[in-house]
Amino acid sequence: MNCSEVQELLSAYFDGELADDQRDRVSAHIGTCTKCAGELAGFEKLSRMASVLSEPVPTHQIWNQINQKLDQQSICENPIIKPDHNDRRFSFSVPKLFVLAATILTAAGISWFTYQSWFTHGNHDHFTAEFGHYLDEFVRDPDTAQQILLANYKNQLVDPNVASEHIGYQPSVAKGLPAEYTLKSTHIMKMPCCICVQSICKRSDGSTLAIFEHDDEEITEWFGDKPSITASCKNKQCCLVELDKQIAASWKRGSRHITLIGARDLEEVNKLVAWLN
Amino acid sequence: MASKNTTTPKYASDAAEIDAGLLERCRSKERSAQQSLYELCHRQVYRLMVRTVGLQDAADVTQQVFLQLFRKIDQFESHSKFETWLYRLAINEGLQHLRKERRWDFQNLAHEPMSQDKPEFERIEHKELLEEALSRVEPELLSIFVLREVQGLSYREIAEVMNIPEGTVGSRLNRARRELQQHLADLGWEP
Repeated sequence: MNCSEVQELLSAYFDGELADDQRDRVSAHIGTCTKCAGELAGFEKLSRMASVLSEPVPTHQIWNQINQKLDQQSICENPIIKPDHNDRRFSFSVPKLFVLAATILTAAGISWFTYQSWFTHGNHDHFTAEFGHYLDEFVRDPDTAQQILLANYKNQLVDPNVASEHIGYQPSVAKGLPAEYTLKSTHIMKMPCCICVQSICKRSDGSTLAIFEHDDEEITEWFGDKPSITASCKNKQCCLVELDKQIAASWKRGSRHITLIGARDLEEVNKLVAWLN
Repeated sequence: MASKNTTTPKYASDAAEIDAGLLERCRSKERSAQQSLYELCHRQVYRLMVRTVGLQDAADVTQQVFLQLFRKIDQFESHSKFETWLYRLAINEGLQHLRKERRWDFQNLAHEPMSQDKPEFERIEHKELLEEALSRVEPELLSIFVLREVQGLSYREIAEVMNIPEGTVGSRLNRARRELQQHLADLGWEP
């Protein structure tokens, strides 16, 4: 065997993973080659160093926090539903929302509709509150809402075509938007939940749509206790959230999620789901 | 120089006590069963996380691993080895964490070789050098090195955990070891 062949097999030899005949041939080469013998000695030294790494001891806090989060998940899965007709969060009563959603969905040509659940999130953590403030402001003044977001989270303005250098993937908006939208800005944001790529788009009438691309699985933390339903949009299971007279929509694209803030209606959601996928 | 013998893992879990009954009770979300499973496995997971994501984040990521485990326990197939499945969950969480953290580095200062003129250099233990060098290795290679050298997994087990062909484990370990040696040399380590 030559050095190149032996070096390819060196770790397997060192770890005792070679078949007997191969091991013997490697061993024979190492016995006559100072270079390969030296490299093997280096592996041995690394292994000795690794064996004296300190033994880390986990604290009891880890289980305590897991226990707490399991309790929170249990609350969300077994909601106490108490719609309060004086509470503006429930401005659409359940029966009315069913009728309204069914009508819209039918008109939009969506094939099926599921109702997931109304639930009161036990997890009103800081992020949910912060993002809730952003959402509330977005329906009033999207530009001010954007300033809130940029002030709250570390961010960097980027060209979406080169964002992959920072985040390892090309964001969906990099391939462009439908003709009626103009991309105004793209930021990479470090949010407590995840790293997001957030794009601000303007419609021809000057109104705003925000598009987030992120790998946060726990999308429910974004919207807190805002009313939500699940629906199929262009064969994608979407979480739809009521924001006053606008909609937020979130769906999974590959290993990530895309979230729209400020969609006008389900027709727009469908169009963008199809485009961004 | 002879090769190392394959030995039993340095830190074997109490796998014998992770029986089907315990897993079934975990599937039913019985909290005491979940805690028992945690107690049996958390040391290995935490150790793996310390070596892959670092001491500062290890507790958080360990939490995430177990929350994922309890969420996905229905997906565990009883004919597989539980420990392997658990390590795969742990590695995936660790790699996901590292991808998020390492991409987000506005102050990505290049690591500079330590000067041998600095008096602190003389006091740095080899294990601290190794820990620093480990932090500089590409995450997937680091995971494979840790699974082999710290957890003592065989190549077949590593392949299963990492979801890679068994035949590639050796070449990846070659790369990990050589990369580590280079980082150690950059840090001024002399063998």
